[in-house]
Amino acid sequence: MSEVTKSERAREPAKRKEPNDALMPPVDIFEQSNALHVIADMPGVTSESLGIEVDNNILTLEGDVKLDMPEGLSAIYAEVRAQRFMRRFTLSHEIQADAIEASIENGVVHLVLPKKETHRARRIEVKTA
Amino acid sequence: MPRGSYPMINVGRTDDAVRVYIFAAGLTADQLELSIQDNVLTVSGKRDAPDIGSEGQAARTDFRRERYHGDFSRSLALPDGLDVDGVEAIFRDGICEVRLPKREELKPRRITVQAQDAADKKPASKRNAKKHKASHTSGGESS
Repeated sequence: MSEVTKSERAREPAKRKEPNDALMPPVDIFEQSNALHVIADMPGVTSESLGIEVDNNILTLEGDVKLDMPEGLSAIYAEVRAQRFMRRFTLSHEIQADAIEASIENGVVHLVLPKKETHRARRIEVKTA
Repeated sequence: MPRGSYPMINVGRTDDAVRVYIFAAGLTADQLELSIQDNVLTVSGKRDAPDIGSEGQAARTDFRRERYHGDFSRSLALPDGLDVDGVEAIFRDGICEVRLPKREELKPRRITVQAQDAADKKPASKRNAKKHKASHTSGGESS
């Protein structure tokens, strides 16, 4: 079951040293009624600045943080140190890539990735012998 | 970046105000509680677990749970000299921006430089200079 979606291995120390120009949004992934749901926290991202792309079974979720910062603002303390969110997922062959739906509300992205017809759960009738 | 802390907070400063940005995705303006006491800003609230929906919990299989759910409370000490009564907070697209203006006496001020009167300078510069010095020191003593 774990190969239904695979995330990039960004938690490994070796990969973390890459130039930190984008934040990795935390996600919840679950399966419900023959579709996978991906919910990602991307505060400051609007429907205009959100980009979702599927290429070669790689789903890319990215968005720019829209913050209207006044001129001459100097940081005193910063936990969010990038202006961009980005995360990639490998889709399994079960996903029907052209039927993915996305919505964003209050900085939370909700993706619905339906499974292909052939991979949906089916009820098998048990015949009495 | 500390993972798992919710909401994340940035603080910036301009000439006339301090701005606090609270990255609280998934909340609405009335779900976020802000308070200031003794120059400490406290952000608290609760983020509900996502709606299970009509299918019920049994129909759902979780693969990843990285997003924070539940009660949260974070506090941060603010710089001195802010006008707590003039605080404004705006919530948009999952970010709450709090603007805390500085008190009037702490804002940077422009000091106008006055040119010395040209007529005063012309005759007998030495004598005038002495006079100036004398008045200056006497002024210093009185204060």
